[in-house]
This record gives sequence, C-alpha cells and structure tokens, in this order.
Amino acid sequence: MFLAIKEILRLIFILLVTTFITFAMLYDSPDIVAENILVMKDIVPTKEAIESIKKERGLDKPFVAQYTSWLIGIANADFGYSHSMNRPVKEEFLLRLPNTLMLAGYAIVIMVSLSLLLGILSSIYRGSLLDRAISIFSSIIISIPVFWMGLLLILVFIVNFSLFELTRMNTPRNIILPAIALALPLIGRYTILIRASFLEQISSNYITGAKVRGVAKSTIMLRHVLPNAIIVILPPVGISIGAILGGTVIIEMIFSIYGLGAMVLVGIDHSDYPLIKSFVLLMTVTYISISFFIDWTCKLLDPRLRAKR
Amino acid sequence: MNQIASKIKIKLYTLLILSTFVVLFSAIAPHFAPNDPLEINFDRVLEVSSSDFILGTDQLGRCLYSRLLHGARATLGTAFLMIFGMSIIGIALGSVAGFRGGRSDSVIMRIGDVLLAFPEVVFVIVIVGMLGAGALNTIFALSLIWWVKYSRITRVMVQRERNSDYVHIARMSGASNIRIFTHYILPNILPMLVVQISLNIGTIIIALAGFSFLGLGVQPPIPEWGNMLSEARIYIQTAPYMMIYPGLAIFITVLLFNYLGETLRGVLTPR
Repeated sequence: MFLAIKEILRLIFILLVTTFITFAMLYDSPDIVAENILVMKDIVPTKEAIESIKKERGLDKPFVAQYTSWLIGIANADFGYSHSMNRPVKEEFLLRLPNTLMLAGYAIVIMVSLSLLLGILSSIYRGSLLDRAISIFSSIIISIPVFWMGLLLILVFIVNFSLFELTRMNTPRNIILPAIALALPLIGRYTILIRASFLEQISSNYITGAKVRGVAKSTIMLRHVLPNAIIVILPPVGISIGAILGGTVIIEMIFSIYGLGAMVLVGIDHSDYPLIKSFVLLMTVTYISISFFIDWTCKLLDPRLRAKR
Repeated sequence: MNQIASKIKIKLYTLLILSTFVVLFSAIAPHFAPNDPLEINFDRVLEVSSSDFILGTDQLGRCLYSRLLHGARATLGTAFLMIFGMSIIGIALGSVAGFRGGRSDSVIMRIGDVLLAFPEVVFVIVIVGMLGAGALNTIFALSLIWWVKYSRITRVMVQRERNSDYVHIARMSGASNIRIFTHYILPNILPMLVVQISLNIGTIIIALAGFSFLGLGVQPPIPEWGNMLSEARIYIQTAPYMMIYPGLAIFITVLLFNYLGETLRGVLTPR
C-alpha cells in the first residue's frame, strides 16, 4: 500500500516536471497569445483589447501562475489557438488523432505479434537454417532507417505493384503499409531479444526439471517459458512505445497521413507554440503513463521485483 | 578453442580496419568529388548515370555522386561529434553519481529520469521548437537525452567496482579517490563502455539522419544523406535511383558499425 502511494507520487512528480519543462521551453510571450485569441474571435487586436484579454486570462500574472492556468486550461480541454492551422488546437487534434492512433496501434500489434512469432520460432529451432535466416533478417532490418524503409515500401508496393494507394483518405487498408514500415526496424530488435530470453529460460534448471518429469513440450513452452520470458521482454517493449510515438512523425510525413506528426512539422515551421506544446504534452503524458503501467504489470507478474524495493 | 578465438580476432580486426577506413574516408571524401555538389544545372535535370555524372543528377541537375561524398562528411561528422560529446558527459556524470553516491547521485539520476520521460523525437521537437531547426540544435537535443543512458550504465558499473576487494586494498595502501578512479575503476569499466558506444553508433547515425530527413537537422542545400532522401521522396516515381543511393549508404554504414559492435561485445565481454 505504502509502495503504491510512493509510486503514484513519483508519477505525479514526473508529470509535473515534464509539463513544466515543456511549458517553459515553448513559452509564448503573453502579447502574442492575447493577440491570437483576439484574432480567433474576429476582434481587432488593439492595445486595450490585448491588455484586457491578458487580464482576463491571467497572462499578466507571474510565470508559475501562468503555468498552472495553462494546466487548468488543458484539464478543461482548452489547448489554445493555432495560428498556423487557423483554428483552435483542440479541433485540429480531434480531426487528426484517430489517424495517428490507428497508425501507432497497428504498428504495436504488428511489432509484438511478428517479433514474438519470429523469436519463438528461432529459439525452438535453434541452430537450424530457419534460425540463421531469421537472425540475418533481423540484423538487416535493424540497420534500415525507418524513413528509408518507408520509401522502399512505397517504391515496391505503391509505385511498382500499386497494391496500395497514397491518398489523404486514411482508411484502415491504407494505414497497413505505413504501420509495417514503422514496426519493421523494431521487429528486428525484439526478435533478437525474445530469442535470447527464451533460450535463457529453456536452458534453466526448472525447465530441465519439467522435461524430466515428462511434461509435454508445448505445455512447457506455454506454461513455463512464455510467462517468464515476457517479464524480461515487457520493459524494452515499453521503451519502444516511445520510439513508435516518435516514429509516427516520420512515417506520417512520408506517407502523407493526416495525423498529429505531420501537423507538428507544420507547427515547427510556423513557430506555432500552442500547437507544438499540446502535441508534446499529449505524446509525453501517453508515453509516461504507458511506462508506468508496464512497470506495474511487471511487478504484478514478478514477485521478486516487489520484494526488492 | 584456439582456432575459434583467432577466427574471431581476424573478424574483429577486419571490421575495425573497415570502420576506421569508413570514418577517415568520410572526412576526406569531399576531395574525391568530381563535381561541385551545390552546382545547379537546369539543362541536365534528373539524368540517370552517365560518364559525366556517375550516379546521375537530382532535380536541380546537381551531381548525385558528389553530393553523396559530401554527405558522408555531414552525416558521419554530426554522428561522431554527438557520440564524442554525449558519451564523455554521460560517463563523467555517471561516474560522479556512482562513486560519490548520496545527494549528487540522486540529483543526477532524477534529472535523468525526467529527461528520459520524453520520447526521443518529441524531446527533439521541443528543443527545435525553441531554438529553431539546425544540425547543432538536433545534436544538442539528442545529446541531452542520450547522456542519461551512458550515465546510468556507468553508475551501475562504478557502484559495483567501488565495493570490490581490489579497490578496498588500494584505499588501504593510501590511494586517493581520484587515483582509485583513474587507475583502478576506469580501466575495468572502459571495455564495457566501448562496447556500449560501438553498439549505439548505428542507432545515432539513423536518428540524426532522420531529423535531417524531417528538415530539422542539416539544412539544404548542404548535402546530408537524410536530407538527400527527403528531396528524393518527391521524385520516387520519376527518379527512384535518387532514393536508393543515400539510403544504401546509410544502411551499409549502419550495418558495418552494428556488426562491429556485436563482434566487440563478443570479444570484450567476459562470459
């Protein structure tokens, strides 16, 4: 119980500090913020109007007070106004979020299922031709940058064979290819990791014991090896969620997907701070939450981790 | 047994010579360029390879081969600059945290926790949003995250060594803290750090080229493999060779360094 409270406090601390860093680094001068609000409401931004807006929104208050009012605004789903998109950030987010979620979701599913399959196959048939082929395949796709992978897939599947389309219509079918491009380099890494952790489990004493007792091979794999190996694999998978979230920026640009990553690149070009800030906030909070969730899952699955602390 | 050991050694030396060659060559590669990589030639746009232009020309009629050679310096130069800077900072701070412990340890580690809470690309977006796009800014942003990884590894290793018998004996014979660190601990942890750095070279090359691809790193017209790919993207239907060469260059370089890292790990890590 005490430990859980401590963990939650740590989570809150990290969330506060990261949001504060985001706010401080992408700090917009109050005058510009007030001007944007006025433009949004179709009011001529005169000096008096700007002053009154600044007072109304608390933009004349000290820095830390502005930070808290920014947080409160976000809690009330007010992300500010984006001058590069010419509409409130929230509206832009709602339009683009589904595409980014779909891309990241597909990529995670592809990454986990394919690397589990390849990793388990190569650990079962250790030393065979299949094992060698999988290990060569893994080391090759690790060395291919995500952005080149995307271009190669476009060249092969869209330009040469026209199996997919490059359009702004982001139907589930059109998201598959970008998701594969996003997942492939990570699949290489996890196949190697999963193979190693499976081999480690297989060669441990308790598995030999189970074999001696005559437990069926498939039961050993599913009941003994898999749960133990997953504890080893989960933390790095959590870290790679960060790589996938960041990778969506690159992939959305290549495949012209109407998503958040493509949006933030436009925002950077126009120094659109409310837009960048909201994007960073969303991505970081998602990533931190997932990391903590995975941390807790590992502790739940592995009594040793609980005992250590 | 001996035969296997010598086989690995030969492999390691071949890889070491190859990668040293790649690094040195990338530094002097621009001198081998047959043409000016920035020279625009609208009469000869998007040509395939010929005797004038070995690898053909891009959308502005610039020589792709020359751009590739110049790009080697920008791509590998930025990567090694970053590796050098952030590994020294990371190892130094990690050593302080591990060796001194107490408050300096917890301060350094908490700062690290916060920095690693950002996804890598997102953190670079914060820095670039604040400072503007540019090669130095992306190197700065990435280093700000990467040093944490090195200081964590270093800290754990230093903590382990600090309490070992040989350090206690050195202390009893009157060695100062600094001497204990430089003469006893550092030589013992250095091999593992070298392995770690060599394993990460490829990842860093890809990361930096990726930011140039997004237009946040090395800015055109200066050729860099990432931003060359970015320009090639639009011409994927008419001139697919434009995206093949820079991509292959990154791929082969990264493959080489990854292979070197794996081999080094096999040799230097005690089993």
